[in-house]
Amino acid sequence: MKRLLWVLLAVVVIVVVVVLLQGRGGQTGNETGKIRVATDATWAPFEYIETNTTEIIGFDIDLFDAIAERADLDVEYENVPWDSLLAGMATGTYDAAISSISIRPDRAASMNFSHPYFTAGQIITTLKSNTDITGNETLSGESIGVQIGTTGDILARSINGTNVVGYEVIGDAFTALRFNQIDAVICDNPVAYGYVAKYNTLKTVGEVMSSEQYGIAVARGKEELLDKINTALDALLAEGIIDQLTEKWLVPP
Amino acid sequence: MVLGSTLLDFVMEEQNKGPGRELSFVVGGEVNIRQDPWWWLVVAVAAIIGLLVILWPVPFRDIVVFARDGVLVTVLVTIASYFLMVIVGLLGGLGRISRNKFIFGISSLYVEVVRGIPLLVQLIGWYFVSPVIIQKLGLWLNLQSLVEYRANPIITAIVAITICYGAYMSEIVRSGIQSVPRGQMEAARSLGMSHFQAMRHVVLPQAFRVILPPMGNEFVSLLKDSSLVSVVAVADLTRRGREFMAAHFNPIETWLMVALLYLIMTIIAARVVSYIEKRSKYERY
Amino acid sequence: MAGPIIQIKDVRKRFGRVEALRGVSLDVNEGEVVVIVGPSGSGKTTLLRCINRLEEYEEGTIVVDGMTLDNTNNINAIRSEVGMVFQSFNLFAHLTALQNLVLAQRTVRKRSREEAEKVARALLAKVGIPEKAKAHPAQLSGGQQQRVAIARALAMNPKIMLFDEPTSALDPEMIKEVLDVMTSLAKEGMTMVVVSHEMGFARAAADRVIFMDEGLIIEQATPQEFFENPREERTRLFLSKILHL
Repeated sequence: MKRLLWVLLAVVVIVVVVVLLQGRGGQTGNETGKIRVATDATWAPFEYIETNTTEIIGFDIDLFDAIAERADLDVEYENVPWDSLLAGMATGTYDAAISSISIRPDRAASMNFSHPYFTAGQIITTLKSNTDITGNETLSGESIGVQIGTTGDILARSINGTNVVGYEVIGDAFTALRFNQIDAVICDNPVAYGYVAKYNTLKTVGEVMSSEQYGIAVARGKEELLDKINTALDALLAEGIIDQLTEKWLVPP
Repeated sequence: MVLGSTLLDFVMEEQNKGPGRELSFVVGGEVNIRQDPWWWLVVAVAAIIGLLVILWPVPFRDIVVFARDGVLVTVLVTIASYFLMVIVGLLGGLGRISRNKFIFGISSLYVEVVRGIPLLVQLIGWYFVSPVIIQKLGLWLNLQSLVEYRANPIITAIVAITICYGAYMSEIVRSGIQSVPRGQMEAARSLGMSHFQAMRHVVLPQAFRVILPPMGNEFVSLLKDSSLVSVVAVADLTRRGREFMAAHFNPIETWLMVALLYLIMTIIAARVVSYIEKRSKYERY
Repeated sequence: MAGPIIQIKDVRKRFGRVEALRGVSLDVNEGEVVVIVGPSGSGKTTLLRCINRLEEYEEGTIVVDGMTLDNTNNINAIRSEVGMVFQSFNLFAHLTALQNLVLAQRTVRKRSREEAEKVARALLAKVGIPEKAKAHPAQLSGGQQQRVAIARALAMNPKIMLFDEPTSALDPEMIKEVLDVMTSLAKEGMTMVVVSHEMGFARAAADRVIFMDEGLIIEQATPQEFFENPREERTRLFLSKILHL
């Protein structure tokens, strides 16, 4: 009898703790000090790690550096796996994130987004030797590689009859594709073009299948930071920074 | 609460197996469990999971439903790897005590190398390397089926785990065999039995009893380590957790439930293991 | 058969740097009971274990029942003719007494289960513990275990029985029951080579007593000569230490 009571007590305590933890995360870091900016640096050419210096570089990084300079922010980038990144934004672990994040209502429910700064869409990549796949109607029954938790992942699963293979990083999906372990990869078109340019056995197929806008995510409760970012971003956009960065980083389709 | 009462039934049955043990079932749901207190833990964890799912279906029920097939994959990978690992371990262990220099050398090399590389690294290595090797082999042997080989991530993962854990199992088997007193082998040989007969009838049966507890621990260990396959495109429980978290942005609830699911699996496995251990002891003198 | 059933000639054996046997020669005739005595480290156990090749010697020859021990192909055949009883019994712990006796009969002599069990039960009765057939070794006393061990060796119908200090690990009150079995075995005409400290047994049952020291046979004689009139100085020294009457 006594033992049963102890067990029940333990159960109650644990459940209560869980309920209390359901609140959204607190304030980590402060507004005026260094801000933690998360990014999944496995997404060339937007954010990736430079081989020699092991620094994070890319389109998004240049953009945020420019914003930081304009808004007088002290930035610390953190390389975070994609699935943890969005979750970390929701719990306030990071102050902001720039990582080719497509603005979506379900995401906007848990975090703030800056004004959009780029438009991209999902596209299919296959081996040049693959003649079966010509567009998203021909994907049924094929195996498709994606990075877990991305809009590409969501899109691939929405297509009937596909076998979606989730990868840690999009690079692994392309490697698998190159070694003919999967039939196709679905991801954002700028990334796809980069891989196609790098490996001459790959090609993109069909039309861009969606229209998504990238935004900078900012944790809830950091509205002042959001305003600073937006002000700087708007100014930079007006000055044509996207064209400059596009020319520097992106491969034409 | 069907799960709960089935659990209670099982526990009651357990208790009834002891000699002269009476079970007092009091109306009101109390079961008097005198023997193994650890079964309480199983009940407690199951109760927590049940409560969370019922009281807060969003997100806990969603997580459980989403992760359902991940649990199956975890169990499949664990059981398949374990079964194969035991076979590899037996061969490796025998190889490690072999008087044949070549066999001894190969098995020792295998054990040393594999034990020196983390399981995660081996998993990732196998995952990327095995298709390439097989394709190259196909080109070399001119077998088109090999050239077009598509690796099944689950099978690749099982192979990697088998090879890795097999090395540890080899050492367990080896020390189990070596723990059998030399006199046993001497007595058997002095009766005219061959080395093989002595091993089969005298040494290995006794070694088995020594090996059994560590074998049980390896199973529980394997169950937990199976979470590493989430890194190599296998949709196990951990991977399902990550996917859920990526889509719903609620790491705390997600990981709590995933942890509880792993916990209930490992505790049940641990109980089964200790039950088997006790059982094998009854057979002894 | 012609000639001694055991012929040991100039056997040398070393363990690393230590020479355990330094040129030992010994003949044992069929039906003879030979008891080997000596201080520890004298090589007597090593010599015994050479006879059924549990130890391998470097020089010399040993011929057992006409078969030379150098050719290891027939070692299992030789061993089934030579039974051994160990100081620490070495009963198969996971089997019952009956199963201990039956195992080698079935695997080596290829006897049927019924035949083997029949032989086993008779032997257990002969050594005085037929009721313990279903007991595991851990449930038996030391004396009972050793008797089962003797029965186990006898179940193979060996021509020779080797005893390696069979009573040294026993409590004093159990020594007699084992020695009694050995004595009756000797009376039945079994060829026995016994390494032991039990001088009473040597006096009563041995045809010959052999004294070894430092890897060599120092003296051999009938029990009467050995105990009452030892020739060598070293034998006398040893006996004076051992016999406290």
